Amino acid sequence: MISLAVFGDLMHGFGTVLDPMNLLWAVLGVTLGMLVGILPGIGPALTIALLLPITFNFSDPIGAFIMFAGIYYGAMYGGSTTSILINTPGESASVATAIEGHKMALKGRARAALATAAIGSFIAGTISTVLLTFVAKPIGNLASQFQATDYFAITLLAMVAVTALVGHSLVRGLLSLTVGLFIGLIGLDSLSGAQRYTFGTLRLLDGVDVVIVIVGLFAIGETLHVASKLRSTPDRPAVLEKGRLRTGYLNKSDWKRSWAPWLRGTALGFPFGAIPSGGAEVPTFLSYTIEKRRAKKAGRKHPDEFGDGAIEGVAGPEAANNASFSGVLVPLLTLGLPTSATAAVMLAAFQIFNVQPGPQLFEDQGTLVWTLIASLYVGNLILLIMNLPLIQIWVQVLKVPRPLLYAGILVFACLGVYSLSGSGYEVLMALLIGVAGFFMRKLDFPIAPVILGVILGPTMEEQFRRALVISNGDGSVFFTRPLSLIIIVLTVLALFVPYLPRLVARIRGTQPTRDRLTFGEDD
Amino acid sequence: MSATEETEPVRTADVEVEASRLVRIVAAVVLVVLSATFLVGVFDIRSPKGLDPQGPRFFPLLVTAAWLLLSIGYLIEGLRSPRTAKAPAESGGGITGRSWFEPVALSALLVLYAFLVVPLGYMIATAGLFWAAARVLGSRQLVRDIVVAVVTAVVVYIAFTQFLDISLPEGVLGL
Repeated sequence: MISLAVFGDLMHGFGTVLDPMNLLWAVLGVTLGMLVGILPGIGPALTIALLLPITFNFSDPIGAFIMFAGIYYGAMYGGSTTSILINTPGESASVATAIEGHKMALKGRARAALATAAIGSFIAGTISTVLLTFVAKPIGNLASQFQATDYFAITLLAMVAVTALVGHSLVRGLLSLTVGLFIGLIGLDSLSGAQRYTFGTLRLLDGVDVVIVIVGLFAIGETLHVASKLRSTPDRPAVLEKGRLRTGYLNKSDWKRSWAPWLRGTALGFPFGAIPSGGAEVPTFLSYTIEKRRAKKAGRKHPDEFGDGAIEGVAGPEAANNASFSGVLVPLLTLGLPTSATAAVMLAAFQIFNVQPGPQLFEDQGTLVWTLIASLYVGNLILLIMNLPLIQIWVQVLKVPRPLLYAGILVFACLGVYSLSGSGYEVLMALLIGVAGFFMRKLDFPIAPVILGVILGPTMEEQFRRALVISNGDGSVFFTRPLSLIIIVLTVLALFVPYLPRLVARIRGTQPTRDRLTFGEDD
Repeated sequence: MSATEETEPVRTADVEVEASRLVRIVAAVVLVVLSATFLVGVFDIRSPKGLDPQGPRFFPLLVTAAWLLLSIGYLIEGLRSPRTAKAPAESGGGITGRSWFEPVALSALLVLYAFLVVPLGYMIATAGLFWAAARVLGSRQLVRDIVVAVVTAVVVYIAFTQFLDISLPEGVLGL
């Protein structure tokens, strides 16, 4: 019942993407994303935040979103290249790749590692985009029956689940979240018009722009953090010599060992991206663990290679990483719900163009959505083409000296916040937030919950109050509607997920390996 | 963080907290003071209906109260932590001594930039920021840095004003 209409919509989307001008945006987006994403220490969230100002003045959101999709894919792939070649993952989702991929590179197999990452990303990206194509609209239809209480419950779930899963202390995670929620409160209350925490200044009436928060926390905070450690870290990581890279792509045995991890990684990445779990961290680490266990159990020919350059350990996580992005788009497009820091930045981009993701998106902005989805197919292909033959060029980007790199990040961060309003005041605000971000890094507070709090807080409050208005102030509505109740129960359970391994270990009577199951952040 | 640990895969979260016990306690106290202030600030919000859940005060009350409770929890955590902090010296240097210099210098540069970007103009202010930031970050190649700084500033200025219609201050150059 869905298929034919979907094909029609998708073909229409392809028609728009393949317009030469739009194709140019796609290529430009992938190139820029790759260029910035490959720089050591810069993940997709920061890449998109830094590149946001470029799209401020796009008259047509379609071109902007085609470019965004490209930037995201490029940034994600750039991260894996950095991990493999110089072992500095800019995002935690690339850490698994860094472990095996860098070892492969050290053994002179960088080309094979890069190729299995590129081909795996392509396959995973394509399969999961197909899934997205068929899943998005039905879920959107389902979501259109959501009521205010359900919305409140699901935003709560997203915030709590991501907070519980990223970072390693629940107290610090929740503190980050409340600070984000607080920043979201600043400004005029949308329902009553009351001023909240404006401290009597007109500047704060509109609230704090989320772009300032993102750029401040990610770009300025990161730069200050790096600056404080300069003395104790080597100036520049060693880049692999060129010769090593010219040893061909995948051989027969590499293909044989890669295809199954690609598919397994895809199968993990898509659903984990779609549920609120912080995006790509959980599936990439799961994929890595699974491939490692399988290699051990099956007593295959290469079990000992894990930790020493096993190609499965690159193929699986990279596929999972890419598949999770299409998964993340499911709640983002259908519910307006970002489930990772990067998705939150994407949502901010949507809002800049006055596009409100949610159940109505497919009706109101059909062309935009289907063009975006079609551009994912195209972006994937461009990335594959750009990476296999052109890797030598990208390697040059890795040689940018650190001082110039971070000076450049500061310049672009200032540009981004300055172009929001054209006043230096915003730069000061971003600096203030950046200093807070610096201390958050030093004290090991997770950053992602702040962003989610700023973005989702106002929505959550609005739905909460709307639900109460409808029920005449009766708070029990959140527990009497079955769907809302289920989601709230899930939210409470999410708080306990990090403690699962310890519980399981205790039940089995074995020693737990770690206190909490934790993942990094930054998507 | 060793990449080849025998047990489970390395999690990025296994990075040590880089700050000392004292810094953590100070941060916790700052959080407690801030959240308490904002909690009191709830009553500055004008609302005809008091603390009614449908009004504009209720949500801030929840958020700031949760923030205060969590801050107190964090403070207790810090106070109970062992007095001898894990020596962060070899990994990150912690927040000690001279490692303060670079972040403080960069912050000062950004403040200066915020005030000078309009009077001086985007190109001059940005080239200056780039050069000075690179120098603070340890670059000592004067000529190269100046060339890169000027080229970056000029290219960004032209690209954004000419192609993207974002206006950036002209300043003293008056182009």
